[in-house]
Amino acid sequence: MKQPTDQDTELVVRSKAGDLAAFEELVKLHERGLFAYMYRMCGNRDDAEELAQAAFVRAWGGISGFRGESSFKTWLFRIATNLAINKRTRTRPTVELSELLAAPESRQPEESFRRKRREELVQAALDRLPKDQRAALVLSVYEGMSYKEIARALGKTVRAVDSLLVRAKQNARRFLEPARKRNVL
Amino acid sequence: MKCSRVRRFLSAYHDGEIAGPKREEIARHLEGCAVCRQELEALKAAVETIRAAEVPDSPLYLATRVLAEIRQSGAGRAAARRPVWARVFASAAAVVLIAAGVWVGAMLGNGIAGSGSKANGTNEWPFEGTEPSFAEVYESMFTEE
Repeated sequence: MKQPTDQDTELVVRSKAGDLAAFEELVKLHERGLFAYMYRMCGNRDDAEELAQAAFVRAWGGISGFRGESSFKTWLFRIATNLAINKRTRTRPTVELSELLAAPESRQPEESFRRKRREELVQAALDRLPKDQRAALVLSVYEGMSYKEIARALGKTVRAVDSLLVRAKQNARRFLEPARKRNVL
Repeated sequence: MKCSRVRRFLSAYHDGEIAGPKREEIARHLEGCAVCRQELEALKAAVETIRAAEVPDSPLYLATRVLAEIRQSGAGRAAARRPVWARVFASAAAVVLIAAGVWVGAMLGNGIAGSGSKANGTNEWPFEGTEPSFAEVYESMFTEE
């Protein structure tokens, strides 16, 4: 994860003073990362957009209480994590890995098709993880956060984060094993 | 070191959370143990598979929508109506905070090892005086098992 920048620090201070333009800059700096995190957490674009937007709005509402004990990003991701864990995501048909593996060949160009299938398989595996394991894994793998940072973002101890990651990786491996055996990953 | 212990900590080892003599101890075990080495390779492969999956681009105009919602709720105006003295004080505080941050950063330097991001190898948590890093927690876990 990037080090909290002077830019973030300055924008946070200006935001705390009520400068909405500064907060807009913070949103622009973090929207891509936060959307990606929410997408991994809930598995669909609509919920991810809704949660990312809600997290930013809550961050603005609470920014006067942000004490800078963590980076702005970690604080923002903690808000988003709480929203994602508490939200009942849209009902959508559960996609089983076996269904994805049995899907008929697409007419899309082969590489594009394989990439899309790979993404679906990985997301299906993530969807099957308990939310706390999923959050820890996503923050570690995609955001490159240290265990200490993940602990801050999830409100857990580093030891709990370590246990979550051990179980998350074991489960993800198990879920992805059929696809690996069929050489589609 | 027993295989069961090594495997328990392979995840943290792979994530770069274990440093120093304990890391070396695990590395030595891996050199001599094909089964644990295979386990580490399988773990790496699974993580790389997950990492390689792409995420759709972030939505267009997310920032615009966030700002619109804030303005609509009145929260933006409420913040902007703060008295001038409060804004002047906040600006002064900003300067002090940034200067303090630079000073603290310079003082800490590389003094806190192993607690920063694995992405850039630097310490990101100058404010967490008492919170242990995983390396410190690992020490106690290691001796417990």
